[in-house]
Amino acid sequence: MDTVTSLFESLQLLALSPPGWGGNLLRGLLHTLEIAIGGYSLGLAIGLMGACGKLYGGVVVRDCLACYTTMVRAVPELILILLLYYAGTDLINQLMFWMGRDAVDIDGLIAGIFVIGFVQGAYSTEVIRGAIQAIPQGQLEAAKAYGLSFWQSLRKVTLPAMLPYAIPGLANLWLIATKDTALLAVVGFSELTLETRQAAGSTKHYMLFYCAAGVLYLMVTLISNRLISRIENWSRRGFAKEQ
Amino acid sequence: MLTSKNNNTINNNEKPALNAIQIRGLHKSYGSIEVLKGIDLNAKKGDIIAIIGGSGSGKSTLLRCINLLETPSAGDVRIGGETIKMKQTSQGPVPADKHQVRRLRASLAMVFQNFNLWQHMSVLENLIAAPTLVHGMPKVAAIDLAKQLLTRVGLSDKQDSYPAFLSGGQQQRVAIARALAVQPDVMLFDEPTSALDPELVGEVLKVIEDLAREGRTMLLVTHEMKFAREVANHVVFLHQGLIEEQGPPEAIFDNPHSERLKQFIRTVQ
Ligand SMILES: Nc1ncnc2c1ncn2[C@@H]1O[C@H](COP(=O)(O)OP(=O)(O)OP(=O)(O)O)[C@@H](O)[C@H]1O
Ligand SMILES: [Mg+2]
Repeated sequence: MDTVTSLFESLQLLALSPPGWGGNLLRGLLHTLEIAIGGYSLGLAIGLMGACGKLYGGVVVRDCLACYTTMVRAVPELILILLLYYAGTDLINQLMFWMGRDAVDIDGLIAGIFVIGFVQGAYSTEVIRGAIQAIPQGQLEAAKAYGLSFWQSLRKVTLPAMLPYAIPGLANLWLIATKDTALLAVVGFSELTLETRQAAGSTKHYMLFYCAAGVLYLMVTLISNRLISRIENWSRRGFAKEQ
Repeated sequence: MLTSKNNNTINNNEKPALNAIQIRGLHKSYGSIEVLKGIDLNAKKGDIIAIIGGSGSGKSTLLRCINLLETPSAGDVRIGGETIKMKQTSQGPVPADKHQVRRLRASLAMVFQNFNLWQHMSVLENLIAAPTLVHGMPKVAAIDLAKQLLTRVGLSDKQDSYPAFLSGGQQQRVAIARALAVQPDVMLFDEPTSALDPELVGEVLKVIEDLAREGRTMLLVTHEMKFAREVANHVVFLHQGLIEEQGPPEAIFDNPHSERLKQFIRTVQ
């Protein structure tokens, strides 16, 4: 009987309105998703350009990109995030100072999206580059032979044809993006992990809140998986079904 | 060079585009290996030229130099009377004018050994891509034309299928329809039946034969000697990067002169 009441009491701590902390957790989740979606999209954009640069660019472009992808993938993400966040804001403020402007307060959301996007971009570059190289050469040749321009062929043939090869890797990157947002807790951005820590610290119900956060992350992954498999099926529409 | 340019203008005035394709002194090397060693070839409008020869003799390379899928190392390629402009770089010659290359390519259509259909596009989308993107045809007109061509190659019920769901013979017929959809001046075929199961070869050859009867200009690399003899009006025998012998099919197949051609004909029969 006692355990039931105490369980009930602790669950009340998850209520959406104060004194429950559920609202804070959901707000944290929202921020997490905002950063993940923003950072992932930025990463995809960087990855597309990076892959094209690596495959079709000149020597200088290729060297710069090799530098970028190697460094980002070599350094632990936590360090990169601290570095980019503090060094990045510092740099911007120095620039502002040089231009004779006042220091700006950089929005945590924008900074977070930029940091995650920068890291994701390096991985996306490699995933997309590999996917483009996996396209059967003849399809690109046919585009050339029929007079499609470089950009037409990129838009109509290369990008859609590489998708089925890129999606497993890109899907992985999305799941990593949702979890990498937790690293932004160290710079004080109030995403799901930081909100959870605060709730747990204030109430001393560590188990309850961390489990709740875990469930929320799990839900994000499960829903993502559903969406991803739909997108993957669509991208593989031109592939004969395996027996 | 100057004189040939002058000739060109004169010819153009008298009989426009009589020469669909003119190749002069075409060389192609990969590194130190010389694959084409100086090819001269003329295709007049309406010619059906069969290119035969052993494996590795340079047949595909020759065809691919015509639409610049390979860049010639030396020599001229002239399409519809217009010479493809080349420029020298430290890596060897490259096409000088991208727009010219695109424009000339648009007047050619290639059918590949492995079909090379765009796998992520439906059959219909494959057929309308180049007409709409390259030739500026309105989408409705392109779809109309595509449907007619599919009927013609006997695949009107497959317009919404994806290539991977079709048999090899069907895919190659789609590829031929894709080639026809750009209303090309010259069609290039690179061993269009070599990747097909024997029982599917016939349906594809029949489609090509029909096209030949229409008086289309075609360059056709093939291992089907019987077919070459029936449809071609000129046969070119390539050996180690050179034209060893050429002439009308009867002369080539019934009365070959060069030892190598005799031997080649013996081995394929
Ligand atoms: N990209 C390349 N790099 C190096 N060598 C090449 C390349 N493409 C072709 N070759 C060589 O050029 C020669 C001619 O090749 P090509 O494909 O034109 O022959 P082919 O007559 O079409 O033969 P097949 O009947 O087997 O198709 C071959 O020896 C081949 O190895
Ligand atoms: Mg070949």
